[in-house]
Amino acid sequence: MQITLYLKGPLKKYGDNNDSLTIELEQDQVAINEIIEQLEIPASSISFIQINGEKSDSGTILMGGEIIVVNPRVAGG
Amino acid sequence: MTYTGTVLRIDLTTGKATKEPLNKDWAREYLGGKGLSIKYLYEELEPGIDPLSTDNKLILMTGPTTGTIVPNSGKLAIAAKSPATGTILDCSIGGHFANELKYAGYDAVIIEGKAKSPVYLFIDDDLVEMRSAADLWGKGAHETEHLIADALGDVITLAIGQAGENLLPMACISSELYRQAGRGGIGAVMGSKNLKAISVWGSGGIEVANIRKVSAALNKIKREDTMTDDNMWAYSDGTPMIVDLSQSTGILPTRNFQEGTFDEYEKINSAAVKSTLKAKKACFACPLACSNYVKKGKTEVEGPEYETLALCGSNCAIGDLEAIIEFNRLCDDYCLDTISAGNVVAFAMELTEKDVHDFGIRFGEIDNFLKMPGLMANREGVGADLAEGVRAMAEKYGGGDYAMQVKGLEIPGYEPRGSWSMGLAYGTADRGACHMRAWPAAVEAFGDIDPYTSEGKAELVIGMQDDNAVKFSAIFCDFWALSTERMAEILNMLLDYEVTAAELTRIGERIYNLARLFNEREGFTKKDDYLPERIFKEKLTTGATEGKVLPREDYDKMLAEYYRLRGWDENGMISDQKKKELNL
Repeated sequence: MQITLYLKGPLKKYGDNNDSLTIELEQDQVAINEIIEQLEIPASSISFIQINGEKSDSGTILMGGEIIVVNPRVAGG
Repeated sequence: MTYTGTVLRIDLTTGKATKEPLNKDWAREYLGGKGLSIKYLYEELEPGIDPLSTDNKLILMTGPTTGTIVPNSGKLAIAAKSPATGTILDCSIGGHFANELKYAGYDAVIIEGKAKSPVYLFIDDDLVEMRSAADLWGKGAHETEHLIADALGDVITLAIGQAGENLLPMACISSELYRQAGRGGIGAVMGSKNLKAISVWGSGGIEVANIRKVSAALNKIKREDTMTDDNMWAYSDGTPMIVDLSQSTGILPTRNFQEGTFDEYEKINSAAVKSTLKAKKACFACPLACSNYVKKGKTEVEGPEYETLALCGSNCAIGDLEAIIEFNRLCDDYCLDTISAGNVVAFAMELTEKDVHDFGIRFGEIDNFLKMPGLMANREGVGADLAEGVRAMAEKYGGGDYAMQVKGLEIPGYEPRGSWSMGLAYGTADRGACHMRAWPAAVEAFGDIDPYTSEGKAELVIGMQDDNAVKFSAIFCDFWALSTERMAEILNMLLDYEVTAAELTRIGERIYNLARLFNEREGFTKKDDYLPERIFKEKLTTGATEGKVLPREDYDKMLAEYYRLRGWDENGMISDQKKKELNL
């Protein structure tokens, strides 16, 4: 399966400074938090994750073809 | 000890400037910035004064971190009674004015009275001059700053544009062209005093015990707690990053808060702003450099910030970034608060489209949109009505249910129907609808907390309000997500007494209650803590917030819980016990 991952703002560094990553996986399905762990992104650095445009739980199972956006924490407003 | 211990008091009526000692007891209880300026105003202003009369005072206040290398300490508080709301008003402005004021030898400046004719002030250490502003009056803030720089050389200036001169309740104060003390009509207070600008230059410094040790400790903090994942969004993107977050969670105000998503959001989001980026800019002592200096087509500006993109972009259905940048530039020059300006234009668009009153402008009309800042600032044509803000427009023409304001201050860029705690934060903010007193959207709509429940929201908002009150008093920029423990660690390097995190939280609570007490004295009650009816009744129709309202009964519940946890009575009045507890 294949997924596309966008790492926003300072989180880009966890993807070798690429705005987006296309990841090929051997599994048929995988939880998004496994991908996050694999990239060594601290959970405390993430505000929320979007899958195909919707705010999603970090335990959401991916089936392939998803577009994932990982947003950093923000402060102040 | 990093206070200078000196307050400069300037009476514009007599032209006399005097130095007086800083009230150190108050400084210990309120620190500086927001808290200490509110304390001075509470003690010195008579209740019920007209904010635009000679009775109002304008206070510029630094804090114990100002002028040091403490990260994100380059902010100045500017406070007065608000012409927009009649509440207490403190604004926060970045740049380099605060540190120069401290280097000139002052913790604060208190400006009283009214000059007979337009003047500007020049503070150069002990030299304090009141100079004629006859040639500056009628000019925008940008030209004013340039002309003063031509006359005085290296100075940092706070200036007003035509909006301040014409006493608009949305007039702001500008510095270094693109930084603003934005809300509540603080610029109109300057205008009412015939005060066009204040320029400062200081040749002194700040004394810190054991500078090597303090420098090393602060540099370590900067590396380990400031330039981290939590804060570097400010550098990588700045506030435009929030456009995507708000769009995806359905809280991006669109068409005067009729919707929570904008079809054209990708034309105004961070990626779009980055495509126009020319340089990053920072305030004094700031490693985060949140400001984006952008140029697109024939226009350029430092900005636009999220609030401008949301209120002047999606909220007016303007998906043209060049138009938003130009609107932003015009507002900065005339000195209009873009949050209020975006709201009034959007309200005029909706009133026109609903045939309530024809302001000659509809959603998405770029040409008319760009005419509005000039018409408002100069009170010309339809701008004369828009200049008064959405509450006054609704009183004159109707549409009060969707005049998006609280206490007379227009609502910032986070839709409360998709972030119920933001609704409570707006309702209980001390200067009217404000996102800088508490910004719980960050942990609710953008975090793990359920946005659609009243449970736990009062406690969340109170905690943020108290922490921010002390943060804006110390002073730190709100873009550094630092803990009160970290604040205490830093202040203990600078003060000649020890302070704990718990004591700082208590100071924050004291400040927030004093602000409430000021408003209570002005006649504000529970009825003023409510949101526009649209939020309670009209369902949003798009995106993640489709079908959502903030039910009034849930708001009532949050507000009652808020009062209870604050130690206020059921009408929102501060109890005698709480006053005694906080030494108010």
